[in-house]
Parts: sequence; structure tokens; C-alpha cells
Amino acid sequence: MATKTQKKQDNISEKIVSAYKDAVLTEQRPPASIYSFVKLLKINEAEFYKHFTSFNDIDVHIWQQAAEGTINSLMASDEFQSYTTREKVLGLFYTLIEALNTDRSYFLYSLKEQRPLFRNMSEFRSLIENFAKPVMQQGIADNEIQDLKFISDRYHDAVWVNTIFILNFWANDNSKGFEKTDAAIEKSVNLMIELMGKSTLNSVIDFGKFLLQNGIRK
Amino acid sequence: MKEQIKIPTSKIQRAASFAGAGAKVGGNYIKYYVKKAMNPDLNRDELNESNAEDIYDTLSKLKGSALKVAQMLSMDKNLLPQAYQNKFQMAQYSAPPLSYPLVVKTFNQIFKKAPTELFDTFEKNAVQAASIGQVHKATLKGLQLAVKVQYPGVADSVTSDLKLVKPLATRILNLRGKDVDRYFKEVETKLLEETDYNLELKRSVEISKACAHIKGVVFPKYYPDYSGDRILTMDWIEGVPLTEFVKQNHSQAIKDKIGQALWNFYDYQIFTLKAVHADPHPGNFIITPDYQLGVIDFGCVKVIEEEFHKDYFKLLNSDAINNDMEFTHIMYKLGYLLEEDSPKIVPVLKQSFREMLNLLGKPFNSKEFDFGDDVYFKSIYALGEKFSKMVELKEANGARGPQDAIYINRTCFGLYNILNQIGSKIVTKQA
Repeated sequence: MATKTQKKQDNISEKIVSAYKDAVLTEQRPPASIYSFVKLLKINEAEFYKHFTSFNDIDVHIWQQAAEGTINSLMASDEFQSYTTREKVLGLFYTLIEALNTDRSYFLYSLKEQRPLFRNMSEFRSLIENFAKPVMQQGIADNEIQDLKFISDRYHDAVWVNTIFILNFWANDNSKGFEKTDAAIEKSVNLMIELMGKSTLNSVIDFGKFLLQNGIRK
Repeated sequence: MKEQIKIPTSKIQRAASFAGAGAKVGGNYIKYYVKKAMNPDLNRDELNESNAEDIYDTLSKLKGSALKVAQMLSMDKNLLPQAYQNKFQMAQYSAPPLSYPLVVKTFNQIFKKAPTELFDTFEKNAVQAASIGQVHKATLKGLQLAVKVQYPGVADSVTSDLKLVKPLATRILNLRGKDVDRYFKEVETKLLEETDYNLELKRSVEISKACAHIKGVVFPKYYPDYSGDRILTMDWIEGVPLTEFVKQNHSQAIKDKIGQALWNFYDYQIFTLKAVHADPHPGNFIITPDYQLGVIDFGCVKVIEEEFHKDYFKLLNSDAINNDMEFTHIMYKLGYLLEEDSPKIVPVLKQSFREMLNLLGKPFNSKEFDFGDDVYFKSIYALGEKFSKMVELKEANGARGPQDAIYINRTCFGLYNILNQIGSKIVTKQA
């Protein structure tokens, strides 16, 4: 019985999400009010609030689902487990872009029209970062990237910055099959891992420190 | 092949290297005019010389399709100085290997399956780079397969590379913008065709079927069900790439056998099929353990039009070259001589073309030809150097000759060059 109710609840949640997407994509702005929105949906307001607290909450939910779907399908793949850190990050982005492509219109709207830009991405961001943390840890353990005091704890931030870059690139990509986004993913991740690898970052920091102590003072 | 993790050359960097040459060439003009103001006797030779140096520097820095174009155009204009020739072989798209996740993604897009699901085994790391992609080894039901995967966005980069190279090429080759359009069109069409794996599949099947009877040449079988827009699957041909083979020691008999197979393969394509594998790059051939020539990569195929074929290959026949009336007629018809040429320049041009054609046609005009003979190649380069220094040729408008000749010349140069590297003595039959 419990599962049946749960299922019904999920259905309503899905119904709200798809009606919301439909509304924003038709009007290119959120519905005027929750009152008018639920009337169209033929549910009462209380039902709406059981699932979402605001329209913004729905946006957060949609982004969160995209990240969840991506990460779950990666984790389900045996092959993925054997990947190196670089390949895992690449896999994350390729799969994510595939997921976003299934609903490109909505995500374009969200990236381009909704301000401030990352208001809807709070959950999305923490999912990406929580995914990235162990992946980067593995890279350090495997000697693929370097362990640096203070800095390597923030490697997942770099993955997030890369995510934003790729989302923006994808949003403006007009190439056939978004091939250029693929190239952007490939190149940006290569650069990121390269920067973290070997002694590159160390040298950058070392040089920066030197400049701070000596060069800039003049 | 180790996957390189390296920052790839971006369009901006390439643009910067073009801008560099443009600026230098511009600078040379300024120097020339300043010097000229001081010393009115100065002629343009000095200017041309300093331009040539800067241009060569820039060309040697270029990579990718831009390099191909620049080289092909310079080749057509006045043969090819030795230094260009050396670089010619290296013309390849400069892209680092695709990561395995991107390979998986490409498979998913085309087959809705990962490579490991489609094949029994699939090697994660590419075994070699193809010109615009990379090759993975796979097995399926006991078959050894080579799977070619194309880099994403190559078609776009062809077009943008060409846009970059055009203003520079027109300037350094002393061409007028509108004259050069037809050459660029030809090159762009061919480069874009190379990115079309469906077309490559079709042509590979056609040509390998048509040439199956040629002795000593083997072709892989192609698998349309395992190929798509950016993936091409064929048999894995066991052996050494020709690039490696030429570095090894082999008996003259073996060198001759392989060279002869290569010659017969091209002879049949040019004179019978009238469609030719126009990329005779050593990387496109594999020598099998029993010394057969394996031909892979039919990305670049030039179909030779009947009318052009008749005129152009007549020029390889020494009788036609030495018959002045016929020769002049063909020169005008193919556009090597132009109506607007001054009567003073026509004999100079005719003499130069005649000299060049006699030399290039030499293998076709003898029963047997030793391509291992470096003297012949040195004389080609020497002629190229001579032409590049001839003021009359420089001053004549540069856009000469049919655009169809670009790829035919490239094929012949490539073929001669490979045969030279192998060191083969060939029985060349009369064309």
C-alpha cells in the first residue's frame, strides 16, 4: 500500500515538473503564480507544496535529476570503474551533456534566462563535487595527479569550474551533433589534469610565490 | 601509442603564426620601399628573396589542413624546393588522441552500444593515428579488425583552416584573390570528403573490388554494419607500416616487388579506373609478412574527368611535348598559358614547362626506371629551385593550370617519393 501511495506521489511530482517545463518553454518565463499554475494542472495548492516550495525549487530539482541520472549511469557501468581519473572526469562530462541534450530547450532556457545563473544549481553542484572528490582522490593515489598541501583538497572545485565552462560552451554550440562541445570537453579536461599532474601546478605556485616575494615588490 | 596530454594548437595560435608571416611580409615591403627611396636602382629580387625566407619559416610552423593547402599550392606553382618536400609528408592534422570516453560516446551515438558491447574485444588505447582520427584494434567472431574513429569537429576545422590560409597563400604565391578561388574550392571539397566516412566506405569497397586482380596488392574487407558517420571498421592487416619498412634492410628483389605492386596499382587507377587514391602517404600502406602491399585509407580519392585526362596525360608523352604546335595548344587549353601573356614571356614559360614535364614524365617514357636513383630526384629539386629564382616566372601571374591538376600532381609526387624511399626499380609500361 505504501509503495502504491509513493508511486502516486511520484506521478504528481513528475506531472508538476513537466507542466512547469512546458509553461516556461512556451512563455520563456515562469508562470505568473503558483495559484494560476495549479489551476491549470487541476490539483490544489496543498498538493503542490507537498512536492515543491516554489518554482525555483522545481528548477533545482530538474538540475539535480540531471546530475543524479548521469552519476547513477556512470556508477552502474563496470567499465567506468576501471577508468583513470582523467577518463572518469571525461565520462562525467560526456554523459552529463547527453543527459542535458534530452532536454536541451529547458536547460538552455535555464542557463540563458534565469538569473542569477547558479541559483538553480545548488544541488546539482554538490552532486558534481561529491562525485569529483573520490575521483580526484583516486587520481592522487594513482599518481595521476599531484598531492599538494591545501590545493589538492580543492581539486573538486576545478571540476566544478570546468563544468560551468562546458555548460556555457554547450549552450552556445551550433555544431552538428554538438561535436564542438565534445572537443571542448576533451581539451579542457586534458588541460585541467595536465595542470594538476606531475609538477606543473607546483611550479606555477612556486613561481607565483617567488614573484610575490621578489618581483612585485619593486 | 601513448595518449598525449598536451595542450593542442588552437585556432588562435595558428592564426597568430599566420599573422606573423603576414606582418613580416608586410615589413619586407616597407623595407623595400624605404630602401628604394634611398636607392632607386634596387630591384624586386631582394624583396622576393626575403619574402621567401619568411614564408618558408611560417610554412614550416604550420600544421593541419592549412599546411596541406599551402604546400599543395606552392607545389603547383613551381615544383617544390627540397625543404618543402621534406615537410610535405608530415602534413597531418594536429590533434591529440581521442580519450576513451569520447570513443565510447561516439559509438553510443552511432550504434547505441559501447565498443565493448559491439565487438568481442576492443583495445582502449589507439594503436595508431590516422590522418583525421585514430585506429583501435578489435576482434569479433575470431576476426581481427581495425576500427577507425574520427576526431569530433574535423569538418569545421577544415573550413576554418582554409579561411586562415587563403589571404596568406594568395599573397605569398603572388596570386590574385579571385584566381585562387577555384584551387581553394578543389582543396576544400577534397578535405571535406575525407571527413565523410560513409563516402570513404563506399569508395574503399569500389576501388578495392576493381583492383583486386592486381598482383601483390591486398585490401582489407570493410564492414558497413560496423561503420557509420565517424567510425569505419575493416580487417586488421598484419604487417609493418611502409614508414617503418623503408627504414629496414631488404633485398633489392623485395624492394622491386613492392614498388612494382605500388606502381601497377596506381597505373591501373590512373589509366583504367580514372579515379585515384590521391594520398600516397607512406602511412597509408602496410607491408604484410609475405611482402604484399596492403592499402588502407581511401579518404582522398580524385576522380579524373575524361577531357582533362586526355589532355593532361598527353603531356607525359615526350612526343607531344616536343611537337610545338600540339604542346602550345594543350598549354593554352589547360590554362598554363593565358591569352593575356605578353609575347615576351610565352617562350620562357613554354620552355620552363617543357623542361619540367620532360623531367617528370621521364619514368613514363622509359621501359624501366630506377626510383632509387637519387640523381633524378636531385635534378627535380634543382629545377624547382631554379624556377623559384626565375624573375620571369615570378612576375607572370601565378594562377596557372587547371585545379584538377593539384591532386594529380600530389599523387605523382607522392608516388615517386615513396618509390624513392623504398628504392625500387620499376618496369614502367608505356603510358
